[in-house]
Amino acid sequence: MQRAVSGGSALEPNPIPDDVRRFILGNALTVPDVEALLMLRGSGGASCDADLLASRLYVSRTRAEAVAAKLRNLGAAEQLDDATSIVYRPRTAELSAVLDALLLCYARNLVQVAQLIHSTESQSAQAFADAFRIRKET
Amino acid sequence: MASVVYGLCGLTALACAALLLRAYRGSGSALLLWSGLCFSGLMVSNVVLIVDKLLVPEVNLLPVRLAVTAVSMLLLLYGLIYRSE
Amino acid sequence: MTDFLAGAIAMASLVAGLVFLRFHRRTSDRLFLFFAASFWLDAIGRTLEIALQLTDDGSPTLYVIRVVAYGLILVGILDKNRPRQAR
Repeated sequence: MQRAVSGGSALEPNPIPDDVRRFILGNALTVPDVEALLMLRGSGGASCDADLLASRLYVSRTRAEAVAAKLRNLGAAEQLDDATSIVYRPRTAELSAVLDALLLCYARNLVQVAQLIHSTESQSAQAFADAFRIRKET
Repeated sequence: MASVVYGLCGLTALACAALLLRAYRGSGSALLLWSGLCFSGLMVSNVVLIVDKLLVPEVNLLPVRLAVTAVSMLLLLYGLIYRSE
Repeated sequence: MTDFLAGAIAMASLVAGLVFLRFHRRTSDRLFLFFAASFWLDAIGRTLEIALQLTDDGSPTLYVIRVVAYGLILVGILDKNRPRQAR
Protein backbone atom coordinates (compact mmCIF):
# COMPACT_ATOMS: atom_id res chain seq x y z
CA MET A 1 0.00 0.00 0.00
CA GLN A 2 2.96 2.28 0.49
CA ARG A 3 4.04 3.81 -2.80
CA ALA A 4 7.73 4.24 -2.23
CA VAL A 5 8.43 6.54 -5.17
CA SER A 6 11.95 7.79 -4.96
CA GLY A 7 12.25 11.55 -5.30
CA GLY A 8 15.97 11.91 -4.72
CA SER A 9 19.06 11.58 -6.83
CA ALA A 10 20.78 8.27 -7.40
CA LEU A 11 23.42 9.16 -4.83
CA GLU A 12 20.91 9.93 -2.10
CA PRO A 13 17.92 7.62 -2.21
CA ASN A 14 15.01 9.48 -0.74
CA PRO A 15 13.43 7.36 1.94
CA ILE A 16 10.38 9.59 2.23
CA PRO A 17 7.65 8.59 -0.21
CA ASP A 18 6.12 11.41 -2.22
CA ASP A 19 2.65 11.02 -0.75
CA VAL A 20 4.04 11.24 2.77
CA ARG A 21 6.11 14.27 1.80
CA ARG A 22 3.06 15.97 0.32
CA PHE A 23 1.02 15.11 3.38
CA ILE A 24 3.59 16.59 5.74
CA LEU A 25 4.17 19.76 3.74
CA GLY A 26 0.59 20.26 2.65
CA ASN A 27 -0.69 20.07 6.19
CA ALA A 28 2.28 21.85 7.75
CA LEU A 29 2.79 19.04 10.22
CA THR A 30 5.14 19.73 13.06
CA VAL A 31 7.10 17.27 15.15
CA PRO A 32 4.56 17.37 18.01
CA ASP A 33 1.79 16.65 15.48
CA VAL A 34 3.55 13.53 14.24
CA GLU A 35 4.52 12.42 17.74
CA ALA A 36 0.89 12.83 18.82
CA LEU A 37 -0.28 10.69 15.90
CA LEU A 38 2.26 8.04 16.86
CA MET A 39 1.14 8.14 20.44
CA LEU A 40 -2.56 8.00 19.64
CA ARG A 41 -2.23 5.16 17.19
CA GLY A 42 0.00 3.22 19.51
CA SER A 43 -2.42 3.53 22.42
CA GLY A 44 -4.69 0.93 20.86
CA GLY A 45 -7.89 2.96 20.74
CA ALA A 46 -7.46 4.60 24.12
CA SER A 47 -8.27 8.28 24.30
CA CYS A 48 -5.90 11.04 25.27
CA ASP A 49 -6.77 14.32 26.80
CA ALA A 50 -4.86 17.56 26.37
CA ASP A 51 -2.95 17.20 29.66
CA LEU A 52 -1.69 13.77 28.71
CA LEU A 53 -0.65 15.00 25.29
CA ALA A 54 1.10 17.97 26.85
CA SER A 55 3.11 15.84 29.23
CA ARG A 56 4.05 13.19 26.67
CA LEU A 57 4.92 15.66 23.92
CA TYR A 58 6.75 18.05 26.23
CA VAL A 59 4.69 21.00 25.08
CA SER A 60 2.43 23.45 26.87
CA ARG A 61 -1.20 22.57 27.41
CA THR A 62 -2.23 25.29 24.96
CA ARG A 63 0.01 23.82 22.33
CA ALA A 64 -1.33 20.34 23.07
CA GLU A 65 -4.87 21.59 22.55
CA ALA A 66 -3.80 23.13 19.24
CA VAL A 67 -2.25 19.83 18.19
CA ALA A 68 -5.43 17.98 19.13
CA ALA A 69 -7.51 20.46 17.15
CA LYS A 70 -5.22 20.10 14.16
CA LEU A 71 -5.49 16.32 14.20
CA ARG A 72 -9.27 16.60 14.44
CA ASN A 73 -9.28 19.02 11.49
CA LEU A 74 -7.17 16.63 9.46
CA GLY A 75 -9.66 13.86 10.09
CA ALA A 76 -7.06 11.71 11.82
CA ALA A 77 -8.63 11.88 15.23
CA GLU A 78 -12.04 12.35 16.68
CA GLN A 79 -13.21 14.16 19.72
CA LEU A 80 -14.98 12.16 22.37
CA ASP A 81 -17.97 13.41 24.29
CA ASP A 82 -15.62 14.60 26.97
CA ALA A 83 -14.58 17.71 25.06
CA THR A 84 -10.88 17.56 25.78
CA SER A 85 -10.16 13.98 24.76
CA ILE A 86 -9.40 12.64 21.33
CA VAL A 87 -8.97 9.17 19.95
CA TYR A 88 -7.16 7.93 16.84
CA ARG A 89 -9.79 7.44 14.18
CA PRO A 90 -8.85 8.28 10.57
CA ARG A 91 -11.89 9.35 8.63
CA THR A 92 -11.11 7.53 5.38
CA ALA A 93 -9.17 4.45 4.38
CA GLU A 94 -6.98 6.63 2.20
CA LEU A 95 -6.06 8.86 5.11
CA SER A 96 -5.40 5.82 7.25
CA ALA A 97 -2.98 4.51 4.64
CA VAL A 98 -1.10 7.79 4.39
CA LEU A 99 -0.87 8.01 8.17
CA ASP A 100 0.45 4.46 8.38
CA ALA A 101 3.05 5.28 5.76
CA LEU A 102 3.96 8.50 7.56
CA LEU A 103 4.37 6.83 10.94
CA LEU A 104 6.38 3.97 9.47
CA CYS A 105 8.62 6.46 7.71
CA TYR A 106 9.00 8.51 10.86
CA ALA A 107 9.93 5.46 12.88
CA ARG A 108 12.56 4.41 10.36
CA ASN A 109 13.90 7.76 9.17
CA LEU A 110 13.45 10.12 12.07
CA VAL A 111 16.22 12.47 11.02
CA GLN A 112 15.05 12.90 7.43
CA VAL A 113 11.44 13.45 8.39
CA ALA A 114 12.43 15.97 11.06
CA GLN A 115 14.64 17.73 8.52
CA LEU A 116 11.75 17.88 6.09
CA ILE A 117 9.51 19.36 8.72
CA HIS A 118 12.02 22.00 9.73
CA SER A 119 13.23 22.84 6.26
CA THR A 120 10.22 24.82 5.19
CA GLU A 121 9.29 28.27 6.30
CA SER A 122 6.10 26.95 7.71
CA GLN A 123 7.30 27.35 11.28
CA SER A 124 7.59 31.10 11.31
CA ALA A 125 4.65 31.51 8.96
CA GLN A 126 2.61 29.34 11.29
CA ALA A 127 3.83 31.42 14.24
CA PHE A 128 2.59 34.54 12.44
CA ALA A 129 -0.83 33.01 11.84
CA ASP A 130 -1.02 31.64 15.36
CA ALA A 131 -0.33 35.09 16.77
CA PHE A 132 -3.82 36.09 15.60
CA ARG A 133 -5.58 33.27 17.35
CA ILE A 134 -7.34 35.02 20.19
CA ARG A 135 -9.75 32.44 21.42
CA LYS A 136 -8.85 28.93 22.39
CA GLU A 137 -9.64 26.41 19.69
CA THR A 138 -12.96 24.92 20.78
CA MET B 1 -16.53 60.90 9.91
CA ALA B 2 -13.50 60.10 7.81
CA SER B 3 -11.31 60.64 10.83
CA VAL B 4 -13.34 58.17 12.83
CA VAL B 5 -12.77 55.60 10.13
CA TYR B 6 -9.07 56.38 9.93
CA GLY B 7 -9.01 56.02 13.68
CA LEU B 8 -10.45 52.54 13.28
CA CYS B 9 -7.74 51.78 10.74
CA GLY B 10 -5.20 52.87 13.31
CA LEU B 11 -6.82 50.65 15.91
CA THR B 12 -6.70 47.71 13.53
CA ALA B 13 -2.99 48.30 13.01
CA LEU B 14 -2.55 48.60 16.76
CA ALA B 15 -4.39 45.32 17.32
CA CYS B 16 -2.16 43.55 14.80
CA ALA B 17 0.95 45.03 16.38
CA ALA B 18 -0.17 44.02 19.86
CA LEU B 19 -1.00 40.46 18.84
CA LEU B 20 2.25 40.00 16.95
CA LEU B 21 4.49 41.49 19.61
CA ARG B 22 2.76 39.54 22.36
CA ALA B 23 3.26 36.34 20.39
CA TYR B 24 6.88 37.34 19.80
CA ARG B 25 7.42 37.52 23.53
CA GLY B 26 6.02 34.03 23.80
CA SER B 27 7.73 32.29 20.92
CA GLY B 28 10.65 34.45 19.85
CA SER B 29 10.15 34.04 16.12
CA ALA B 30 11.88 37.07 14.57
CA LEU B 31 9.23 37.48 11.90
CA LEU B 32 6.76 38.39 14.62
CA LEU B 33 8.99 41.16 15.92
CA TRP B 34 9.52 42.83 12.56
CA SER B 35 5.94 42.54 11.41
CA GLY B 36 4.82 43.77 14.82
CA LEU B 37 7.06 46.81 14.45
CA CYS B 38 5.66 47.37 10.96
CA PHE B 39 2.10 47.48 12.21
CA SER B 40 3.15 49.77 15.05
CA GLY B 41 4.51 52.11 12.42
CA LEU B 42 1.35 51.83 10.35
CA MET B 43 -0.62 52.78 13.42
CA VAL B 44 1.58 55.84 13.91
CA SER B 45 1.05 56.69 10.26
CA ASN B 46 -2.71 56.58 10.75
CA VAL B 47 -2.42 58.77 13.83
CA VAL B 48 -0.39 61.29 11.84
CA LEU B 49 -3.12 61.14 9.19
CA ILE B 50 -5.75 62.08 11.76
CA VAL B 51 -3.54 64.83 13.17
CA ASP B 52 -2.98 66.03 9.64
CA LYS B 53 -6.67 66.27 8.90
CA LEU B 54 -8.01 67.46 12.21
CA LEU B 55 -5.36 69.27 14.19
CA VAL B 56 -3.10 70.92 11.66
CA PRO B 57 -5.08 71.20 8.45
CA GLU B 58 -2.91 74.10 7.34
CA VAL B 59 0.22 71.98 7.44
CA ASN B 60 0.63 69.12 5.01
CA LEU B 61 1.95 66.11 6.87
CA LEU B 62 1.83 63.86 3.84
CA PRO B 63 5.63 63.55 3.55
CA VAL B 64 5.82 62.58 7.22
CA ARG B 65 3.07 60.00 6.82
CA LEU B 66 4.67 58.50 3.77
CA ALA B 67 8.07 58.37 5.40
CA VAL B 68 6.70 56.54 8.45
CA THR B 69 4.78 54.12 6.24
CA ALA B 70 7.79 53.52 4.02
CA VAL B 71 10.02 52.69 6.97
CA SER B 72 7.31 50.41 8.38
CA MET B 73 7.08 48.53 5.09
CA LEU B 74 10.84 48.17 5.03
CA LEU B 75 10.74 46.56 8.44
CA LEU B 76 7.98 44.24 7.27
CA LEU B 77 9.85 43.18 4.15
CA TYR B 78 13.00 42.61 6.15
CA GLY B 79 11.09 40.29 8.44
CA LEU B 80 9.15 38.50 5.70
CA ILE B 81 12.08 37.93 3.39
CA TYR B 82 15.18 37.80 5.52
CA ARG B 83 14.03 36.61 8.92
CA SER B 84 11.35 34.07 8.12
CA GLU B 85 13.72 31.12 8.41
CA MET C 1 9.76 63.00 -3.15
CA THR C 2 6.28 62.06 -2.02
CA ASP C 3 5.63 60.33 -5.34
CA PHE C 4 8.82 58.35 -4.85
CA LEU C 5 7.80 57.30 -1.35
CA ALA C 6 4.30 56.40 -2.48
CA GLY C 7 5.72 54.29 -5.27
CA ALA C 8 8.15 52.60 -2.93
CA ILE C 9 5.35 51.78 -0.51
CA ALA C 10 3.17 50.45 -3.32
CA MET C 11 5.97 48.17 -4.47
CA ALA C 12 6.65 47.03 -0.92
CA SER C 13 2.97 46.24 -0.39
CA LEU C 14 2.93 44.25 -3.60
CA VAL C 15 5.93 42.19 -2.50
CA ALA C 16 4.54 41.70 0.99
CA GLY C 17 1.34 40.37 -0.56
CA LEU C 18 3.38 37.90 -2.58
CA VAL C 19 5.17 36.63 0.50
CA PHE C 20 1.87 36.26 2.34
CA LEU C 21 0.60 34.24 -0.58
CA ARG C 22 3.61 31.97 -0.30
CA PHE C 23 2.95 31.57 3.41
CA HIS C 24 -0.58 30.55 2.50
CA ARG C 25 0.77 27.84 0.24
CA ARG C 26 2.96 26.55 3.05
CA THR C 27 0.40 26.57 5.80
CA SER C 28 -3.00 26.59 4.09
CA ASP C 29 -3.99 29.22 6.62
CA ARG C 30 -6.68 31.46 5.19
CA LEU C 31 -5.47 34.40 7.24
CA PHE C 32 -2.65 34.91 4.76
CA LEU C 33 -5.13 35.34 1.92
CA PHE C 34 -6.73 38.21 3.79
CA PHE C 35 -3.36 39.82 4.45
CA ALA C 36 -2.27 39.40 0.84
CA ALA C 37 -5.51 40.91 -0.43
CA SER C 38 -5.22 43.78 2.03
CA PHE C 39 -1.70 44.70 1.03
CA TRP C 40 -2.40 44.34 -2.67
CA LEU C 41 -5.41 46.59 -2.33
CA ASP C 42 -3.16 49.09 -0.60
CA ALA C 43 -0.73 48.88 -3.51
CA ILE C 44 -3.55 49.43 -5.98
CA GLY C 45 -4.81 52.41 -4.02
CA ARG C 46 -1.43 54.10 -3.93
CA THR C 47 -0.87 53.43 -7.60
CA LEU C 48 -4.23 54.96 -8.47
CA GLU C 49 -3.46 57.92 -6.28
CA ILE C 50 -0.36 58.69 -8.29
CA ALA C 51 -1.60 57.65 -11.69
CA LEU C 52 -4.78 59.68 -11.44
CA GLN C 53 -3.18 62.50 -9.46
CA LEU C 54 -5.75 62.11 -6.73
CA THR C 55 -5.36 63.26 -3.17
CA ASP C 56 -7.08 61.52 -0.33
CA ASP C 57 -8.87 64.71 0.49
CA GLY C 58 -10.78 64.85 -2.74
CA SER C 59 -11.24 61.23 -3.56
CA PRO C 60 -13.76 58.94 -1.97
CA THR C 61 -12.28 56.08 -3.99
CA LEU C 62 -9.00 56.16 -2.11
CA TYR C 63 -10.85 56.39 1.16
CA VAL C 64 -12.95 53.35 0.34
CA ILE C 65 -9.90 51.40 -0.77
CA ARG C 66 -8.07 52.13 2.46
CA VAL C 67 -11.10 51.20 4.56
CA VAL C 68 -11.62 47.96 2.69
CA ALA C 69 -7.93 47.11 2.91
CA TYR C 70 -7.91 47.44 6.69
CA GLY C 71 -11.31 45.82 6.88
CA LEU C 72 -9.94 42.74 5.15
CA ILE C 73 -7.42 42.31 7.93
CA LEU C 74 -10.15 42.61 10.53
CA VAL C 75 -12.29 40.08 8.68
CA GLY C 76 -9.30 37.76 8.49
CA ILE C 77 -8.76 37.95 12.22
CA LEU C 78 -12.45 37.40 12.91
CA ASP C 79 -12.51 34.49 10.50
CA LYS C 80 -9.58 32.94 12.31
CA ASN C 81 -11.35 33.17 15.62
CA ARG C 82 -14.75 31.92 14.64
CA PRO C 83 -15.98 29.16 16.91
CA ARG C 84 -15.55 25.85 15.19
CA GLN C 85 -18.67 24.37 13.70
CA ALA C 86 -19.82 21.14 15.29
CA ARG C 87 -18.97 18.23 13.04
